[in-house]
Amino acid sequence: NKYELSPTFGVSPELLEYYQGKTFSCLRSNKQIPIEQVNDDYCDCPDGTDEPGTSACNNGVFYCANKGYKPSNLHTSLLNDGFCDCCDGSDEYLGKVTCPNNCQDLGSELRKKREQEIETYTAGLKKKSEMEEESKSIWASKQEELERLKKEIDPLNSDLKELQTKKDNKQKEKDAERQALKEKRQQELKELEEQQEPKPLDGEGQEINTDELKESKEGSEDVQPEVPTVEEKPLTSENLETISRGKDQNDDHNDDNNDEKHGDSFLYMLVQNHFSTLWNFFKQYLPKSVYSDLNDLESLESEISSKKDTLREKENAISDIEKLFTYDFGKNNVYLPLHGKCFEVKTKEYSYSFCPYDKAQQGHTSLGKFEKWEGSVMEFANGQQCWGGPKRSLKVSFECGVDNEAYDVQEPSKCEYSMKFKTAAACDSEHLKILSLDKDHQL
Amino acid sequence: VDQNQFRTCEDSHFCKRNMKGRTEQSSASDTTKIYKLLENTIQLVDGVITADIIEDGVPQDVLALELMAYQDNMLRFRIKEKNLLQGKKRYQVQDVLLPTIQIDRSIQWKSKPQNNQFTIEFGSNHNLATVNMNPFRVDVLVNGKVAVSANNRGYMHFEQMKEKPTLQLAPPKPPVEGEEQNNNEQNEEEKKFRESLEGLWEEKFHSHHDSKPNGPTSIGMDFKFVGSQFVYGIPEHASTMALKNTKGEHPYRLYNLDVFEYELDKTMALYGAVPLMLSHDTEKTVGVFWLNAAETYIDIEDSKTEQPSKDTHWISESGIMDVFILTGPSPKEFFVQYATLTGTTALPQMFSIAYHQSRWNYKSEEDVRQVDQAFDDNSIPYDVIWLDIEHTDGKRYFTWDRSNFPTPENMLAELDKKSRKLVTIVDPHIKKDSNYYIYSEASEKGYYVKNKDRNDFEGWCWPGTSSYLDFTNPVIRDWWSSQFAYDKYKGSAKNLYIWNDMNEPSVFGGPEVSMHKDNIHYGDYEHRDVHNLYGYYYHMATAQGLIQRNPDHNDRPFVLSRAFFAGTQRIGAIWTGDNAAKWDHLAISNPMLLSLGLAGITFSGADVGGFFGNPDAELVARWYQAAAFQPFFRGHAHLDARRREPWLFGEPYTTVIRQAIQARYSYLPLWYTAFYQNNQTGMPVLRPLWVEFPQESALFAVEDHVMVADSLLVKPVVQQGQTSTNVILPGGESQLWFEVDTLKKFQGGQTVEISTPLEKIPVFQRGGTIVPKKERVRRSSSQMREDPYTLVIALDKNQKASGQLYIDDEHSFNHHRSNEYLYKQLTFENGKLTYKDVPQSKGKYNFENTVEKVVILGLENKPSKIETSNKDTLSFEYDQSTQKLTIRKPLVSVNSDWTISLN
Repeated sequence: NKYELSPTFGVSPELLEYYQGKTFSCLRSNKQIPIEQVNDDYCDCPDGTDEPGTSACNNGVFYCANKGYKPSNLHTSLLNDGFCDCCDGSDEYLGKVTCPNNCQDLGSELRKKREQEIETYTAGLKKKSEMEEESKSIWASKQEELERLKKEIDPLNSDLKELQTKKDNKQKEKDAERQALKEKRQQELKELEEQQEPKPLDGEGQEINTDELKESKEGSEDVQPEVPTVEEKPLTSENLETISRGKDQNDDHNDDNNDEKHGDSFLYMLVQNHFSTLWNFFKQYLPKSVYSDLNDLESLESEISSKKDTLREKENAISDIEKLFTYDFGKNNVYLPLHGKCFEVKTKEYSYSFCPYDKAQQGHTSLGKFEKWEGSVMEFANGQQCWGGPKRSLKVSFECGVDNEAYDVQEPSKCEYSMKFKTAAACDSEHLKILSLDKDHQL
Repeated sequence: VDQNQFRTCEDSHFCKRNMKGRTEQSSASDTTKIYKLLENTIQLVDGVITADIIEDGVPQDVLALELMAYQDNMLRFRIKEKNLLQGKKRYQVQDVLLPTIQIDRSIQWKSKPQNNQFTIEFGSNHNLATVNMNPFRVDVLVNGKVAVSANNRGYMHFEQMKEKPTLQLAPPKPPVEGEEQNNNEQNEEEKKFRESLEGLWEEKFHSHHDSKPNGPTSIGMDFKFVGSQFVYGIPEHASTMALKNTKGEHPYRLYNLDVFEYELDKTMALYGAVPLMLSHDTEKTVGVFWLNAAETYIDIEDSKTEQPSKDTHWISESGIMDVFILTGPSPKEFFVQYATLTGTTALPQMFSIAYHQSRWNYKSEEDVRQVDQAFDDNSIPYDVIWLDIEHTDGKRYFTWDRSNFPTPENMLAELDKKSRKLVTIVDPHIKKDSNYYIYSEASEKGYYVKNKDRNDFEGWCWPGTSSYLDFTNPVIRDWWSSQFAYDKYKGSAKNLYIWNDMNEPSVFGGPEVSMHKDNIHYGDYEHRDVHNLYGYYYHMATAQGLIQRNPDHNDRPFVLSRAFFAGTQRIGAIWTGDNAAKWDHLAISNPMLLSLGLAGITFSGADVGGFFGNPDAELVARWYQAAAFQPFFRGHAHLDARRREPWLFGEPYTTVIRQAIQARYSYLPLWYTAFYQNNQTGMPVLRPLWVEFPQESALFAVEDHVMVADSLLVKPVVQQGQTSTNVILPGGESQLWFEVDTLKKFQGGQTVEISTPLEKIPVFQRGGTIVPKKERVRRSSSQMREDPYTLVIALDKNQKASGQLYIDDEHSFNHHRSNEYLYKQLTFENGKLTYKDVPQSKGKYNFENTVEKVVILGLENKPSKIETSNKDTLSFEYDQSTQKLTIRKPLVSVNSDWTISLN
């Protein structure tokens, strides 16, 4: 054995007992060898456990004590390779390279770092429990709101039903009235026809011409022009709804620019404007009865429409809350207070922002919408398509910190971004215990 | 790929002219030129036969023929104008043939010129060559039978250089009445005249105009490979190893080009060109080396006559006709012959045949540090990390983007601590920027390639407007080499090596993304004459720079190039350019690399994972497995591709990739020995099965199996979801094969189905071989240098085996300068393993290292005692079920001769 190594060289303290006898049993494979063959620079055990102190096995493990710092378990291929891996230099015992023992320095550095970490964790955990409290109250208020909203929906629905019935009745009444009027007018026309030449004013489907209307007004007070277009395509609540919904959607989802929708609503606006102008124009020529009827109907419709709006608002609010409840806010919903907030990082070139559970952006460019948690990483996906690349995405690694702070934006692959985020919510009390234990052990 | 962007024979007038009359329909008589050798001019002086050749009916245009034999049984003939017009030049390829080649002066008449022919005898194999005088034809005989016949079909075509014709207008007729008519006639005549120049004295391709000041200068010749159904070589094409018939299709094209997103199964030209074709049948391996650097087409078809033969038709745009016929007849002799002409692979440094990690681009020193660390954290070995164009200051090569690479010296020093290297890219286009020292200095010195008007040529490439150094000029090459000095290339260090890309040359917006053919180079030659040499010269100058930068000139250079030519093997490695992350691109990597290896370009590889696109985990894993058994082994990815470092795919993929890379490292002693053997003999490192089993005609087109040296047979999995694969085990029943991971023994002469779960790489060690390994895999290859060897002996049916082991310092030229190497023969017979110098080895190298383990596979009887020549008794284990003997710690020195005896 050219190294003249003790069988226990490179063995971690908890395994020492297995390396004491006259024979050695490979720790994880069924083979026994004389103790002389341990650390003799030849791999006998398929599991590599007979050569903790040489590089003979491809799967061996070497224990560096690293006194003053923390011990480590090294792959034995790193032994005597000319690169110092253990701070105590014990991995380079053949002297290919002179390794300084810098465990004390590393140790004190680490202790300092640990203390800082402990400080951060302590403060962070305190803050975290505040966040948990906050979460509780947010959660409760959301729940309350949900219940309230749900309760409010029933009366709204029954109101709407009632109004609808009213409206339907009114409509029927009016239809009947109009029918009567029509019959009356036809009767009058018939009478007129009998007296004089027929007037061209009155053809069905004939275009309404304001000049003609004027003429007709001047001509005869008795002849009541119809308002067929208005009648047949009235500004119903449904139409208004379509218009306003289209608009709402556009407000909510600026990214989802849907030209078709835009076009539709734009057209409706035009038509609507056109109709209201016409309507206001016609109104003055209409007999009081028709006018007031229509007026009644109109007010009913607008009432329905506004009720519907309210209903929809409430339904949206309900689904928002329900959606919120499906998110993973961690244990005790600790991440809930981050919902609805956004955090920014500025680099030389860009300003990045990410809003937990919502979206992420680079300037005005979308880096994606909230997709999922992957361990302690929050992932945003399906952002703006990248030229020659994928849709932009962002991964935010959450770390323990006292204050919420986003930092260190990178783009490791094209249009795939990464960011770090410090928050008290990510502080783990178990980890603090480990840190404290480490500290108590004096490394 | 946008195929319209690239020419085919149809688009090249010179190719069309040569092809005219070569279709089945046309009768040869009306289009074919007949060349004849003038008997009274034939002379044999000092081993060289000279004669005049004329085209039938054109006695004034005399061509000069030289015919001579070269050492190692080769025949060469050269044809050019006997009297070149004043001021004209015809290019003869320079700097490719080794200066050591020697004319074999022992050539002699077998029969003197008479009855329209003569025969000469040449070489140690007493080969004959019969020359038919009218029409001119050369038949080269191997083993008494015609093997290669030149101008067999009479396709010879030689466009002699002429003065540009001028329009001779008839004297104006007396002005009678039709003056206008006369004018019309004149215009008509002028138009016709101009049309007659098209393709001959000028040519257009898309928007590019070629002024063709020398007019038509093309050459063509046909070669018949008699008795052979298989021809190989003429890389680089993304196509099959056994070349296809191209009659009626696009002929194979050799014209170095930067082809964006190249497609497979095409005869289109790619980045490099080696005009060497070899043919093989059960009786012989022979070849034709067409030494020409201009645009070249090769048309291939089955002969319609006699026994199965291949007819090939070679066409080049310019240059002299310079042909070597290599007579083999064994594959081994063939490779020696070609190596004699163009040299063998420069012995690579050990690190360069280990694993390389690249991507376009590692963004910063921090990025490099993190990737480097992650390799260690994941226990995956690697030797070299690469920086693509983004590491520079605005694509000014030799500079650094200092905001991301502020301290390259520190980065290099950190890598060096782990014996790792850095490769940076240096391309041949020089950014036009008077504040850039390379540009301004070269500009002042007038070192750029000139355009047809003799101004500095300007093209467009990564940095924007750029000029291109004229590397065909030795002075400019020297100047370029000097730029790699440590004090010139700031931030470089000894562990920095170089990557040469875009050296076809790639010129964005240029004709076919390259340079104008009427550009002017050193010696007043046109770009068309030297095109395929440009990248070669560039590669050469860079490699020379890496040698010169060290005062002792004693560090072997490593330079990866994309463009190449015959002889590139002497300079450095190449890779197959911008492939794609697709299964079929993985599959084609072996045929492409086999073709390259057959044409001498042994040190080659394909981007692992595929350059363009995003491979899934399975594809990446399979690609690593295949590439672990290919000569140049580098992971690389496009700028737009996602990160794909080996650990990013999660388990089981990371483990599978780690195992593949570790397998490569464990076999490094075999690879290194194989590279040394190539360096000595020209035998490819990666071989098609037929090279090892030349009698088995069923193997002649097998391109999905490879042999590493003569000992490992590998059939990588190159299909998605493939759960089993059929492996051909050649050699007949008497040949044994041992599956390296299960140690299972197989008989040859059968195809076996092997189950291929993700982690499986089907690898078989050939019975009768001894493979040196190092089973201790470390962070990098240099760290493994002093680790002991393991010898794996796979016995043949007679319980025998042999192999070699080559050892040197793995990095310097001392093996060459002062014979500091060990080249050892390992022989196992009669139960005794003998280790001694290979006969004629001059190597002496004092290297303290030992053999830590000997594994013998297929040993039928358990020995009772094993001892060394020093009478040390060795302990061992024998497993009857697998017939495996493991000899424990023989610790015999690699320095001295020894034996190990089994009793």
